Amino acid sequence: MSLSTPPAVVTAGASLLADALTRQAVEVSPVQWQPPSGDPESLVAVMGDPRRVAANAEALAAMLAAEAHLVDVLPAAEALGLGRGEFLHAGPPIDWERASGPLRGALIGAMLFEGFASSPDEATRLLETGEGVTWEPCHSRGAVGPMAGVITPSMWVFCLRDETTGHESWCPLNEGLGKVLRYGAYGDEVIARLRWMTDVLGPLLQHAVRTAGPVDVKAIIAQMVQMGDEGHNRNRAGTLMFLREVLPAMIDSDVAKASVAAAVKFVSGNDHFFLNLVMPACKLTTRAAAGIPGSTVVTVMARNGTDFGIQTSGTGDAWFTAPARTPEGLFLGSYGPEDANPDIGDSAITETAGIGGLAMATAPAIVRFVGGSVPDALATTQRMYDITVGENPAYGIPILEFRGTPTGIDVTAVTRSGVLPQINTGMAGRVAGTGQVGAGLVKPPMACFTQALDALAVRTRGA
Amino acid sequence: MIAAAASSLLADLLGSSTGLVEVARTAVSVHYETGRADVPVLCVCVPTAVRLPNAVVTSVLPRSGLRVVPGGLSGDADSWRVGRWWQPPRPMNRTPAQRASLDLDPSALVGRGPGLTPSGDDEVAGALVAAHATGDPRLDAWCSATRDALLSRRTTAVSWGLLHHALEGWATPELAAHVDEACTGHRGPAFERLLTVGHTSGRALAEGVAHVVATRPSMREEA
Amino acid sequence: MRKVELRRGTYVDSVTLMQVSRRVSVVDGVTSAIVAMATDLNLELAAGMGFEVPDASPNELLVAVEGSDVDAGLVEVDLALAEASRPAPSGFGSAPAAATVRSAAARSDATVALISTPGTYAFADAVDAIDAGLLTMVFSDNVPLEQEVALKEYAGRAGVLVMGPDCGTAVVGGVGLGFANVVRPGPVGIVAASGTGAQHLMSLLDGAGVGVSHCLGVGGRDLSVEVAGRSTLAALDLLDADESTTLIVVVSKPPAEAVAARVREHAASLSTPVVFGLLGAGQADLTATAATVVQAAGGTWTAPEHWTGAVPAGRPAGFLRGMFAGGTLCDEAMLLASATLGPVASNIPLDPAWALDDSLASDGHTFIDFGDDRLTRGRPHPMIDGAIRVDRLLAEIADPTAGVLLLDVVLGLGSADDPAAELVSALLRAQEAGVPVVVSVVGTRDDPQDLRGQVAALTGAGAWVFLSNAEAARCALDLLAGSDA
Repeated sequence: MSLSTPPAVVTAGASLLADALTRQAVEVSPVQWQPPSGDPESLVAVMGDPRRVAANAEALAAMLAAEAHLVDVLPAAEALGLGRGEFLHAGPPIDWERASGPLRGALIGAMLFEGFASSPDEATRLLETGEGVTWEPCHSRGAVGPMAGVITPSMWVFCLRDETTGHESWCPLNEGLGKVLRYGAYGDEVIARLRWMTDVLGPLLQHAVRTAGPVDVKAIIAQMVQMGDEGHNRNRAGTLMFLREVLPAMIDSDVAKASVAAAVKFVSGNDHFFLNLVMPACKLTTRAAAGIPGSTVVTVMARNGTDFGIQTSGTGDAWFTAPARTPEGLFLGSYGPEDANPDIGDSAITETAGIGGLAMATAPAIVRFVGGSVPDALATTQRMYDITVGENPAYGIPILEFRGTPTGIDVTAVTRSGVLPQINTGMAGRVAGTGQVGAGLVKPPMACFTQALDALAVRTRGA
Repeated sequence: MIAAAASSLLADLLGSSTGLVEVARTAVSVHYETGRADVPVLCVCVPTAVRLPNAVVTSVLPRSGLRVVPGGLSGDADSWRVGRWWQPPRPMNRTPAQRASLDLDPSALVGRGPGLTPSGDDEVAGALVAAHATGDPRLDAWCSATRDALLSRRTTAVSWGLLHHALEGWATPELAAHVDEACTGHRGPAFERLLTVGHTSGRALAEGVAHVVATRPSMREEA
Repeated sequence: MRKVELRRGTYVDSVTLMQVSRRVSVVDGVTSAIVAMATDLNLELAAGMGFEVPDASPNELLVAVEGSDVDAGLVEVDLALAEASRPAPSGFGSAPAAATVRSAAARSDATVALISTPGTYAFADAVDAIDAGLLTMVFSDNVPLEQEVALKEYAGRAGVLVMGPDCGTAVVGGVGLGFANVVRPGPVGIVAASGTGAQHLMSLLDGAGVGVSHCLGVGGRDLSVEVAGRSTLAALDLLDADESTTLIVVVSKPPAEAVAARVREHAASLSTPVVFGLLGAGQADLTATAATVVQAAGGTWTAPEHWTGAVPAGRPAGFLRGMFAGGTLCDEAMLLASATLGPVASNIPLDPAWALDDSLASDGHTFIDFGDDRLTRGRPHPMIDGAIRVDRLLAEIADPTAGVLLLDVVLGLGSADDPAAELVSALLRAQEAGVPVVVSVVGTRDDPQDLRGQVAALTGAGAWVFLSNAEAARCALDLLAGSDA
């Protein structure tokens, strides 16, 4: 800091003072200030923490350095050590009592798929009593699951590895759209599809990845972000680029031609197939930033259809939860807002890592699908830079002159600005068994961030 | 009433009532002769323009019919009020890591070369500021040769304004920063920034400084 | 008819809201109106005006209008708020306005931050500015003392100067921040723990033709035992390293002695000479300090101008009544007055035993600082809007025990456009009543209000005007002594 540079002034507060500067022909950058949310004392404690700036810089550096290679495809029992009757689900922990329709539906489907029950009624009874079955968040095992995010021991999962940290992350194979388990459907066709994925698709992909892999998922994400995919609600380019990587090895296998053709048709016909690779890649990104004392960077945002939960780098694996909001957007067929369940899924890990809704500007093709306009999309991403600690140069957005995606959501910036992270999401039906009803935009509840701020303040004072 | 920030060298001028004659205009600045000995030329410029020591900075350039009124400027349609005063830089008491003693002949250089500020004038201005900053013994001789050249009106009005204040050591921020940097014996970011001034002005100013202070090239130039 | 509304999601700064309130209250058919953030204080204020006040949080906007045509008032509220919150133009692809100081700093080449957010929140905004390496001025008042200490420690680690909290005045490279006067560049650097003290000193220096390089405010509490001069020491170092500064002046209200000693010791170690103008009983007044500085800077000191008329009859056995907008100016006048008059009652008393009660009713010789924190909560500073002081002036004129009235008028950036105009009718009334009024005017020739014009308006209304606050106070004391005799 030196006094010899000609002054240009940032102003926050009374506009009278900014006007007085303008009358002196001084360059003024005014802040559109509003009162922060949450406990002012907590904010003072956290902002005044001398570790904060360096800790957040460390968190950002770790996120940027994280890699993500698809190294294997294998059953969850093997990959995650899931035992009989152990299920994983999206979002923060929740019991049956408070579980939403789609999560209940997916758990019922899981019981049927694993053969623990022969009918939905029987499955429901066992789940109510908790007999022989337990469930916990995917995140508590380092995994992620879209929408209901239910993972059972027999399901095949992608295994991604970050060579920088040695961390691994997992995500099940994407089932496609419509009536699918992750949206809470559990009809016969749902279970039949899951069986085919276990019997045919999983082993075939395993062969391809073990033969042609590892696949650099981060490199594909970097390309798809320049091709109109934001990595959450649009994964079309990513899916095709992934298929390009594994296709030769799929064909060059001992599997019957008809099965290979079915698998290729399944993958290429599902624009969201690659989402289930983006998500664990993003989990590796944010996990690299976890556990840094003093850091206010958000490392998890996840929903279970009832609660929205976040975790921050400086507070370990503690969840800060509040009731999830219902997304706003467009509905499929005759479905309407009354059919939509509150926000659900681990897929907000994409926003946590700086893509998805945060990179909305790069995906003008989907803005109308989620009920927005192109200028809105551009403004959204630019607004997100206000609440993130930095940018990810690996993911450049062409229309913003290849500016990196806004990365590392800062709890203090969110509570101070009132600007909440923008999440692009699918909408599940409220009633168990319905499936997808639409897609749209949603934001986390502010209460998650104010609670996180309080917890950060407690740790700061104790430091 | 448009806000303006004036160089402190203009304090007396802007306390008076003085007619102005427009002598040069660019996209970012307008230059006027004042008929006064203390500030022969007044420059009105926008904030992005190179800030000459005789400048009034404002966001709106005057169109026509400008004159000085106490406390500001008045034009046919608009008027400008001095909302603050700023001090142009004048490096002084510098000790260069390595002095240079290249010959310089202001009487041969002033007015020579193309442009609003002929490059000969820029070279002389750079040398005068550097000589003033470092107490170079040749300063007095250079000043008197420059004064003679200016008296004969051999150069443009814009150059006249620049040289008039360079005689006293006043500089633009880019030139002052380069002189400071050059005194370390090296060229670096300040040199690079100076080169971006005008089409040829920056380089000519740097050449002028090189008459007084020797520097080694920056890494980037070597590469 | 009365109508009360609460609006969510609308935040407007308090100064703007006061302007909105005033604009609405002059609408035909509106008798009173308050538009303010629903803080406890404002809710209380509304209740006091007779409105039925709902439960509300401070983040909600309270709109209360009373009159025969409440709807006309509400239309004006919407209009005024819409104008106040006109957003920055955001065309296709242009970034929305910055939401935090951090993002505003990241987007610009700013070198200075000026924070005037409410005191409860200013800490976080200031930390943003410090993180960005900006010279940080915190204009906000009501920042808790422990936060001030924490903030200054934080800034110290970052090697950044924090001016404030409660710093009203600074000049950096000719740019006036907050309440500041337009001064010409020059050799004198000022470190000020006193806003109007700094303004007065700058104005006196400018009047004597001596320019100012920078004036760095440090906040009124910086020289207290708790804050221990942290910003004063940092500002001294910054000015010492600044090439354009060849002489430094430190001005302050009466400081803690141990801290003052520490600052003097540090000043002695600098390569730039330092002059001290620390107010206190028996210490040099601001005018005397200005004279010392002008001479040290090689200038010629002549006494600041004044304009007096015929001695008015005065009132027998009257008391001196001071009504100030500037706290330091009030302090300085009280120091001079108490030296001859003894106890002087005040809301910022020199001696705790001389404190006025909360009604602020005059009690013998009485001085009121209308710029004091407690009097500016929920209303504009008297330098922006002098209405409250005019009311008091009229009350004092009507009070037969008031002998001589003493006021200040502070010009410059941030101050009202025409403060003299606010006072003229009250001054004329004083003239009719035979009560002498002495006014000290603080300002420079380049200030936007036109110093000469302001002086002419005041003297035209019968006031005696001094460009030296200390001389104004002495004159008032002489007048009082004359009327006593």
